Order: sequence, then structure tokens, then C-alpha cells
Amino acid sequence: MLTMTGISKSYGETLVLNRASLVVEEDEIVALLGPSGSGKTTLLRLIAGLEVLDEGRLELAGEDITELVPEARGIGMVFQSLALFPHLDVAGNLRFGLPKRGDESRIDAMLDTVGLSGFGPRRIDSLSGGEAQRVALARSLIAAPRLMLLDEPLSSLDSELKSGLAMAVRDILKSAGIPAIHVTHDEVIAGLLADRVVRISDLSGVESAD
Amino acid sequence: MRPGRVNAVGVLVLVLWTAAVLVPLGLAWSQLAAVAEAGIIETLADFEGRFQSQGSLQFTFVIAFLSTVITLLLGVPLAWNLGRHRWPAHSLLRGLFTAPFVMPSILAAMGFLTLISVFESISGFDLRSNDEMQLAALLLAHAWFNLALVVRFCEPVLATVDPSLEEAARLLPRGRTRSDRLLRLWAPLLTPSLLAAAAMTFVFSFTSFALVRHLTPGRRNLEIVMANQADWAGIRIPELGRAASEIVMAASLVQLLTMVTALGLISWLQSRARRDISASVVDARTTAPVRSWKSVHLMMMAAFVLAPLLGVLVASLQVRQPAGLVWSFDGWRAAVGSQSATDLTSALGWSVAYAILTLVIALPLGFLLAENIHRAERMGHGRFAIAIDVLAMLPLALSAVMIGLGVLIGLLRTDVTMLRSWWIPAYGHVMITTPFVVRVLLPAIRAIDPDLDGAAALLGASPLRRLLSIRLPLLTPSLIVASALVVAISLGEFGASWVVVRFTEWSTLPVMVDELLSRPGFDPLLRPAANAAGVVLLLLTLVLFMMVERFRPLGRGGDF
Amino acid sequence: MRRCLAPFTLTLLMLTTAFAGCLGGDDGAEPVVTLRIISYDAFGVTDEMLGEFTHQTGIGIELTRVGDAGSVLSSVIHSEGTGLYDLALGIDNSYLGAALDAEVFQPLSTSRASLSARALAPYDGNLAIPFDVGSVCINYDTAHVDGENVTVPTSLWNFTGADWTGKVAVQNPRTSSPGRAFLIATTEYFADDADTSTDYTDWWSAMKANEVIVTDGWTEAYEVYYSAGYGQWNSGFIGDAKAVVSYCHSPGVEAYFNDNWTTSVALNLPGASFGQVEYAAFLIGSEQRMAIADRFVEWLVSAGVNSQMPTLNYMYPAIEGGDLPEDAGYRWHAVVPTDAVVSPAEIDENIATWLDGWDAAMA
Repeated sequence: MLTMTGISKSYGETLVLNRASLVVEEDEIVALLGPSGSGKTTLLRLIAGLEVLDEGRLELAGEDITELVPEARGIGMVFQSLALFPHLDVAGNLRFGLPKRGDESRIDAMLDTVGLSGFGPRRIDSLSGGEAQRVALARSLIAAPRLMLLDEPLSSLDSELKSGLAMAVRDILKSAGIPAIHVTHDEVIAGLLADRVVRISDLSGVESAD
Repeated sequence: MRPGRVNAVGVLVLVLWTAAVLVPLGLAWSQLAAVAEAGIIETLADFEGRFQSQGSLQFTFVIAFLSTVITLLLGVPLAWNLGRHRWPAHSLLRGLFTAPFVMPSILAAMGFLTLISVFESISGFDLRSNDEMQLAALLLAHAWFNLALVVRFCEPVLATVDPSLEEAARLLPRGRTRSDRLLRLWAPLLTPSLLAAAAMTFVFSFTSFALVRHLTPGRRNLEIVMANQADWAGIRIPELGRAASEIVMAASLVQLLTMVTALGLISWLQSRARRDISASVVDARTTAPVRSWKSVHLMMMAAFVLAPLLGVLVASLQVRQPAGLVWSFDGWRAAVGSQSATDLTSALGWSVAYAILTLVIALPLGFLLAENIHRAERMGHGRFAIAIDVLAMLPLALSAVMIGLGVLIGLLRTDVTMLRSWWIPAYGHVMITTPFVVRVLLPAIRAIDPDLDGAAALLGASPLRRLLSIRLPLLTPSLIVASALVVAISLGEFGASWVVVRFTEWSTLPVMVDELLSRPGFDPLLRPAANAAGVVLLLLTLVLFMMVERFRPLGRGGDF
Repeated sequence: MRRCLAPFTLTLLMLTTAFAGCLGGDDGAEPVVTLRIISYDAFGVTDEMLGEFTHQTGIGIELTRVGDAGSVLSSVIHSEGTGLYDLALGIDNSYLGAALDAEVFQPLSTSRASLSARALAPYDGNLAIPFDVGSVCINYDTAHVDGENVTVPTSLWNFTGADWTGKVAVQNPRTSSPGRAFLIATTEYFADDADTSTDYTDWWSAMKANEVIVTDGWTEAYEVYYSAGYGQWNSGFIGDAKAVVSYCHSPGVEAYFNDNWTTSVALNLPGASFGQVEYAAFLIGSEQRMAIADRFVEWLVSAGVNSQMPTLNYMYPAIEGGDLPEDAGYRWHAVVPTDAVVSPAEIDENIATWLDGWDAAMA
């Protein structure tokens, strides 16, 4: 599904990624493990197109997306900070993921799917950590992406919530049939969510920044 | 966000702005250089020797420094008092204290003079003949104007600092006493904002014109020196233009270098004092001690701010008659009638029209400039970002004489009829207001969570949609404040002399006031009429500002 | 703010243009021809009168006001040949030499037959037509000059004495046209007086030593510093000066507005005053025909309009027989002095030296 070949990225003098390569199959959830500062987030941002890579090639479903702008890649991402739009309510955030003149009923359906029925009119600052987490996921999913990127989405939650939510996320992704890359430093959660766990240092030639 | 891509609109805006600021400057400079003979260093060395410029360099710098000190002394307690407590009508109070900044300085001068007369008649002291008293009045007047800056910069910080910071400090050995906390917690927290406010106060006191002219009539600062030479600077007839050109070149260079340094400092300071806009902002204010001396202090400061405005009102209602000073509406009648070359209602209309036009141009322009600065910062070009910031603020550093000359020459050479067009004064209005838009929007833009834009992009939103649906709505409070500033500054023609060549048909309120005051005042109705026009202008601005503050949420959109 | 900004902006723009267009038009029909006139700030002809002119002649007037006579001249020189302005009003005989040298005026065929000898004395040609006159001289406060402690000065040297220390206000000749006029008078006065060893620079140095107050404009000197002027009732009054350089008929203007009462008197000292004449001139580069410019200047020097100069402009009319009105003692309090005689050519040749001399004396 996703083929990453020879991705390199430097910030100034620091070489963050050195010829990293990875393949993610259709329907596969891959967990990318590594300590903080090892380039995990950078890799996700490069895949999403939010940063420009120095060298390498990205292919999604056979199409070369290396030069494409983020909005054209069809990739969804849940940010570590969740990046929920504070001036819109929950339904408004989800609506953002619908195409113009999209089917509004999909919003409620998606909220049901993530277990947040009736949360449409809720304000973002009134949500708990777990609820906000799920809204962020729902928003990305409703856009029907070809690939999901999850950047340490569970790190700010307490451990009880984490495992429950990790399973829920896995279920949702699997039933929607969307492949995903999940970046985390937590081995346990990685194991719960993903089909395959890869260490970022193993991505041929990644230099750990610590 | 995709730093590799060059933003075409951004570059275009930057180029246009640079041209708008630097082309007139360049034209004026080259004309002056062509007429002047002595070099700049030579002229500066001779400044003390020439009667026309004697004492102006020291006076300008001294006044600027002293004004800054006095402003901080008056402003910091006010900002503290205002910011730390939840006062009734808090937003109206904030509006009141920040309004003086946009008042036309000629009116403030008139107001202060009236106040001084009142003091003199009550106390019997002759304040005006005394040099030190004149200086004190000038410094107080500058403080009056620039209080707004201290309040604007510091109050939002004070009102929203996480209360747990102070609580934590109280429990630690170095924070047990109030003075300890003031020194080790509050001072470092506030220092960037204070320094920025101080630098801005310095800039405005340095370039002060009407107040110096009226409150300290015997003294000249650089602006006055340049204004005196304005007629002949750049005239290509050596006997007429040489001396004037030399003086203006030297003075404007000193002003430019000093101001650019101050502006660079402000830009750098503001970039270091970042605060986040999150969905919720902590309201750190405590209940207002309504029955304490703090309340009295606040009322006294409010009285201080209102006093000159009342002075203008009083002066508009007092008419000199052979019997003496009499209370009368004759001044108002004269203003509305045909006593002046323009009348009040049409001047008001034109003021509003120009204000709207300026808003429509300056707001998007300032927004795009602020975006450019932010983009440069994010791409890691910090110094370039400061350079653009200073460039955006540059109109505040340039002398009106240079710009007036530059625009005049430029248009004379290209299209003379443009000088007569009604929208040429809009150039001056836009140049003066855009820097403030940048100052207000920039901190807000910096505080937007960068991931929001990325998230929206991944959801398929085009750059335009991201701008309209995400960035602009989040900037709404700051946009409202910036709009109010633009309208208020345009109404008052803050940098009045920036408005190049006035034509009577399109006189705005400040022009009307100026006109009335520049005629020989034998006719007892002229002064009251001018003050009447002034009252209308002041009321308009004051109401505008106080209303806008109601819409500004706590802690946001506040800094300049 | 969530709505699209574009239609909002567009509406504002249209409103502004509509508003502006509505305000900018005159009432009545659009005049066929428009004369663009530049004058000094204090030019007193009202909009009504100009409107009447347009009504009578069909020529519209666009009037731009700039600082003083010097500002008018400099604006004319800057814009020379571009046709930005058609007529310039207010350049006086102290600047006329420079203006003629700069060759910025073109001839008018307005008849000068009705003008007084005094108005035509400095210049009698067709490049500049006088429209008002006045004499610049010292005014003093009779409350101070009471005849016992302080006597009426009989020579300018009196002002350098102890009675007048810090009590005389003059204007900077580089920035003020009365100041300039007075300086010119002093050059002549001290050249002509009995004492051949001293000249104007000596007197000015002595004045500086005697703490003369120098202001950059007439308003500041007269309104803020002069004790017998109308400024005494204004806020911001200082009133240190008991004598000021103004016009010899200024006391008349004071009386006129103050029910025939004032303590200000003009000093009638032969040669210590300057006869100022203000001119209307047709500019080279103007698109208008001379006939059009003539119509306006004729109107300006017509009996009906020119006789109003004392109340509009606070100056004497330029026409023969024109005088100040008698109302409220305007004429009675005014003094007609014996002016110093300095021709425009002489001024043009020497003014730079005189100004530098003044600067040096004041430094």
C-alpha cells in the first residue's frame, strides 16, 4: 500500500532520517517504536507531506506522491496535540472532513462508530482526554483516507484508558479497512494496536538522535 | 507547513509595501542630496552652531527618555491594578485607558492647555512662564498618551498568568514575601512586555510634534526642526533650499537610525514573549477590592485620562466676548455653519469615508505582512523575519517631511493629476495604520497551534479554505482590535502630516481643526469652533474603542 | 467573520466610493472650467464668496491652502510647469524677487488702474497683481509702556535696554513671513540711521543678549507671548512679551473684535516697518487661458470683494481709496507708518546674506 524508499531528512546540521525505507501492506497496522526525538514524528510529517524530504521516494497505492501537496495525498493524521479546531464544535470538526455538500448523516454515524453518540454539539474545551482523542480519530476517518497516521495519540491518557482505547482504535481501523502507521514509545500499546512492530532504528540507516 | 514552497501573494505584498515605503524616501533623499552641499556629519556637528537647529538633538533624546520613564512609572501600577482584579465594567475601563493613544495630538495639546489654564486660575500660580513647569506638562502629556501602551502590553499577561505559578512561589523559600515574588516572579514575567512598551513609548515621544510645539513653545525637537525647514527642503534653487535640505537630511537620518533601532528592539522582544492561545484561557483575576485605595487609584487614573478630553469640551463652550469669557454655544454653531472653510458634518463624513477605505486596505495588507513575518520565522530565518517586521513598522520611523517631499516629487514626475485625487491622502492613512495591524495580529498568528493548519490540509482543505475557515476565525478577536485601531487612527490622522497636500473639498475632521487653529485667532469664534470639531472627533474615537473592548476576550488580542 | 470576506469588502468599497462621490460634488451644475488656486492658510475669502464667483462666471474654484507665503512659493517652484495649480495667491514682495527669478509666472492682463500707489510701489508689472497690503511693524502693550516707568520707544535701540529684557517677541525670518519682512526692514533701518558704525547684525546681537523671544511663527509670538493680544484669554497663554512684531493695523483688528477696546498700540517709528504687498499670480504650465485667470483676479480686486480684505484677510485693500472700516475702532486703532523702502530686486539679491547674518547674530 505504502512504499517508502530511501527517505532522508536533515534539520540544519542534524541528520534525523537517513535513507529510511518501509512498506505497509493493505489492511496492515504497523507500529513504529522508538524513544523521543528519534525522528518518528518527522517521518510521519514527511509521509503526510507537511515537511519536504531531502531525498527518497513515496508511493501510495502505486501512485508516486513524493511531490504532492498534503491535501491531495488522501492521507489522514491524528496529531499528538490532537489539533482539534477550538472554534468549532465536535460536529463542526467532523464536518471539516466531509467534502462540500457531503452527507451530514455520516457525522452522526461516525460519532456512533467511535462511541461518542450525541456528542455533536459539544464544545472542544469541554471534552475529556479520551473523548477528544476519539473526536480527532473520527475527524480523520470521516474523510475516508487511504492511510492513517497516528502520532502518539494515546500518550497523554492514563493507563486504564490507554489499553481500552487502543483496542477500540484497532477495531475501528480494521473494520474500515484502513492501513495505518502508529508511532509510539510505549511497547505495550504498540503490541495491542498493531499487526507488526518495527523499531525505527531498523528502518535501514535511521540515526537515532539520542 | 511545506516550507519549500514560495508564496507568490506574500512576496508580492512584501515588494509592494517595500516600494510604498522606500520609493518616496529614496526620491526625497536624492532630491535633498542634490541640493545640499555640506555632508551629513558636517551638518550634525554644526547643529549647535546653527540657530535653526540649536539644542534640538539633546532636547529630542532627553524628552524621549524622560517620557518613557514617567510613562512606566504611571503605567505599571495602573496595568497591575487593572489586570489583577476583576473590576466591574472591566472592558470599558480597558477601553478608556487605551483610548488616549489614538487621540489626535493637537487635540490633546489643546486639552492640556485648557487644564493648565484652569489650574492657573484656581491656584494663582503662573505655570506657563516657568520652563520646568512646561517640561513637566509635556512629560505628563506624553505619559497620558502612552499609558495605553503599557496597559495594552502588560494587562493581558497579568490577567491570565496561571495562578498556580504564584501559589507555587509562595511555598518556596525564595518567594515567601511579596517583594520577593515581585522581583523573582513578576518582574521576569513582565520584562519583555515592559521593555516593548518602553521602546514604543520612546518611539512616539521621540517623534512627538503637536505636544512639543504647544506645551513647550520655546523648544524644538527634531520633528519641529524638520517641519520648519519643510518649505524649502528640496527646492532646487540653492539660495532658498541649500540650508534647509542639509538640516532635513541630517535630522531625518538621526531620526531614522534611532527609530529603526527601537523598532528592531520591539520586534525582537515581542517575538520572545510568546503565549499560547488554547481553547480556554485562565482567568487569573481576583475579586476587585472595591473599597480599597486600589479603587481610588483606578478612579484617579480614569480622571487623569478623561481630564484633557473634558478640557477640549470646556474650550469649545467658552467664547471670548468683550465682557470676558462666556459660556456659549456660538463656537458649536460656527463649526456647523460656514465659519470654517469646511463644515463639521461634511468633515465628519469624509473622516468616516477615509477611515473605511483605510480599513479595507490596511487590514488585509497588515495581515499578509504579519503572515510573511511568521512564515519567515517558521522557516528558521529569524533575522529576516525581524527585518520584515521593522520594514512593516518603518512608516512610524520616517519623518513626515521626507515622505511628503518624496510623494510630491514622485507624483510631479509621473502623474501630476494624482496629487489632486481624493484617494491620495489614503496613502498616508494606510502607511500609518498598517504597522499597528501587524503589531496586533503577529502575536495572535504566532499563538495559533501550527498543527491546526496541517490537520485541515490533511482533511483536504485548500490553502484558501484553510485561511478562511481556520486561521481567520481564530484571529477574530485580534482582527476586531486591529480594525478598531485602524479606524481610530485614521479618524484622528495620527501622523497628520503624513497626509500629503490637503485639498479643501476633502477636509476631514483633523484637517478642519488644523485649519481653524492656523488662522489668526482674532475672531473669538475660531478657537471654540476648532475645539467643537475636536470634541466630535474625540467622542467618536472614545466610543469606538470602548465598544471594541467589550468584544475582546480576556487575555487575547491585547498586545501590540 | 466566518462568511467569505470578499463580498463584504466589495460592499464596503462600493459604499466608500459612493459616499465619497456624494460628498465631493457641488450643489448645482458642474462648472465648465475649474481654476486651481493655491493660497496660504489664513486666506480669508469664504466658500460662499467663491461659490458666488462660480455662479456669476461659470468658473469653478478649487482652493488649496498651505502654510504661509513661503509655502506657497515653494509649492509653486516644486510644481513649476506641471499645471498642478493655475493661480498662486499670497506671495508677497519679500518673495517676489525670488519668484520672478525662478520664472514661474506668466502675464495677466488684469487692469491695474484701480490699484493704489502703495500697492504698486514695489512692483508694477503684469506678472503679479497686488490684492492686499499691510505694514509689518512692532506692536506694544500700553499697560507696560505707561509713559512713566517705561516710555514709548523712539528708536529700535530702546528695545535693547533693561526695560525690555525678555519682553520682546519676534519671529524667525526663515519660517515666518512677518519675521522675514521685519528683518528686511531692520537692514534698511540700521543702514539709514545716523550711526554708521552699526548695522542690523549689531542690533540683533544686542537683542539676543537682551533675551529676545524668538518664535517660529506669528501665531506663537502674538497669541502665546504677547500680553496685549487676544491670546490673553486663551488657554496656553504665557504673556511674557510686551512688544511683538505684527502688523501696524493689528491693534485695529483687536479693537474690531473687542468692542473698540485694546491696550495694544502699533509703534510708529519711521523706517522700522515693512510695507508688505501680497500678490496674485498666474502660473506657467497652467492649462487655463489667461482670460480665465484674469476673471478671477479681476473679481479679487473688484471694489466689492477687495474692500472686504480688512475683515476677511485682516489686511488693507489694494485698490485706490480702499481703507479699513470704521466700525469698532478698526481704523482708529490702526497706524499708517512710514515704511522702510526695499525693492524686490534688492531683497532677492541680499536676502541670503541677511538671513545668514541674522542666524549668526542669534546663535
